[in-house]
Amino acid sequence: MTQEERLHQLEARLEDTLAALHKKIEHVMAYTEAFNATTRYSYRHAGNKHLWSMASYAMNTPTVRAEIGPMGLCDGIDAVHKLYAVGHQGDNEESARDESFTDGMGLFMAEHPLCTPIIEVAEDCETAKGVFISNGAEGSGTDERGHRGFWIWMTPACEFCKEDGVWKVWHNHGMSTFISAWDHEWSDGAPKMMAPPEPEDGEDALPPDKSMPEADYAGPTTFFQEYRAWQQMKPWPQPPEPYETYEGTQPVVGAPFEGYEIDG
Amino acid sequence: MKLSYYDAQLDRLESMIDSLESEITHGVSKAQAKIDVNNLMGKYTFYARYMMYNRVLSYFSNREDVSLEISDLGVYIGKAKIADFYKKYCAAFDGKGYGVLHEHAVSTPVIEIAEDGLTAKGVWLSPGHEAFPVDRADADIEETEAERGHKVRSSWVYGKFAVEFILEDGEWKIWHMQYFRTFQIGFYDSWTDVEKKDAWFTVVRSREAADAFTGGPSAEPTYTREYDPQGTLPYWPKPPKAYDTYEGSDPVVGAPKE
Repeated sequence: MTQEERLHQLEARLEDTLAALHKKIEHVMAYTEAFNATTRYSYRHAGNKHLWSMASYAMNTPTVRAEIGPMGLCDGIDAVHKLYAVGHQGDNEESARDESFTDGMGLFMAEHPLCTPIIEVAEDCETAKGVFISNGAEGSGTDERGHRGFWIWMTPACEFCKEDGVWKVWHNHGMSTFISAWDHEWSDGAPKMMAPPEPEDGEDALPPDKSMPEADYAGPTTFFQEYRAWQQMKPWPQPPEPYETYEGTQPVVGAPFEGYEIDG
Repeated sequence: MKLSYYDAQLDRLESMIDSLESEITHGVSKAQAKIDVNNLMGKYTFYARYMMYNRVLSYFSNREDVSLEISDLGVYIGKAKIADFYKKYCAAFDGKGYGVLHEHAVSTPVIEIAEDGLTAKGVWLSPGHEAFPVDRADADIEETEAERGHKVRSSWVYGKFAVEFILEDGEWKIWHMQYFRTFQIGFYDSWTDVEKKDAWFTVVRSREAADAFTGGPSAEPTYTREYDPQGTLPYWPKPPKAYDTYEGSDPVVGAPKE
């Protein structure tokens, strides 16, 4: 082999190696960046920076959507914007709008840690899917008894895409497993926060799919369930499996799939 | 024959490419393996919560020495015994799932992948909760409509997972799993109240109930120490250290050494 031939051979091998490495590193980094998109959201939510929460979303992608608990499906850029600008902002617009303000909005606390991550990045590295368990707590003045503390455990389910190379939340479906007043076990009756007025002595509240009036920017709820002591829970959300490219199948958001059931 | 300057440079380039392929690719593969192992623990958690025990079992190794130890219920060794644990004992308590919710989240992972890429060790803190009918220990599994929702109680359950993993046909599998319960207590009681904790376990998941369904574990529990305000809680499990290859030493499962 001549020196020139050997040089060409090594150049080709180097290109192949770098390409393979680039793909592997991109895949690993995508996991971290997608995770960060959701955890940044959690911190901004906890800080009542609800307009900044939108920065985690793919707000330049027309198919962006969000569905939080029983608040209805916000489908598209305008609806997701209103979910936070109207549905979450509260009465201190300046604080919500300006991330440099470190003061909160008062009367409201919502910490939703994210643990138990299962994040699968597509082989083509263009999309990702993830589910989490969130063991959270809130303080809200939402019923006639005034400001109260709540336990709130959730299972957020997200699909991610990239906008200008940055990983963003494309579809978000945040389902609460239970919302329970700090001094009420979740097996005792109905939700204690989202169903005003609070029922007496464990009396049932409104049906779960009617427990929050839908805003004019939100469409019908696609799927909603919370723990009830007298019901079976559907296994939802479905943890993502490795996949090649996003085809809309096996989404982790939306309604549960057929064939998912207790098999013990 | 004396190499020319250009031959030496080409040798150097080839050596750099070799290094790139072996060291950096190895490092990136280990990073991906950590993600895969953490995802596996997440799937175990979700599907156990969903009471989908065939899926749960699919995450365990097919090796004869695969093992599962959940707090004080003993060590279940081999896939068949682990299947008994989930599909006879756990499923019996779950019944048809009315009022049943057990969620053991995993957080704070410390994961080490062996340098040889064949095994891994990890520990997780697990904040969790359970709700299920408290009279289910009597083993009358078929709930009646009237019973639903009337005898269900909620509890906090915090603990730690220590797990060893093995690569099997290119997929990470659970090889040895141990769950150390720090405390479980009814919602209205304090985990510092030892009497309340003892009372809680007379009506829920007890060793006797597990044995009745499974025929008993393969071995007695290796370690069962829970939080007790009158005692000390040992430093266990220890986070795994970086290691080259699995030799059985410095395990993350088992009991602390004297």
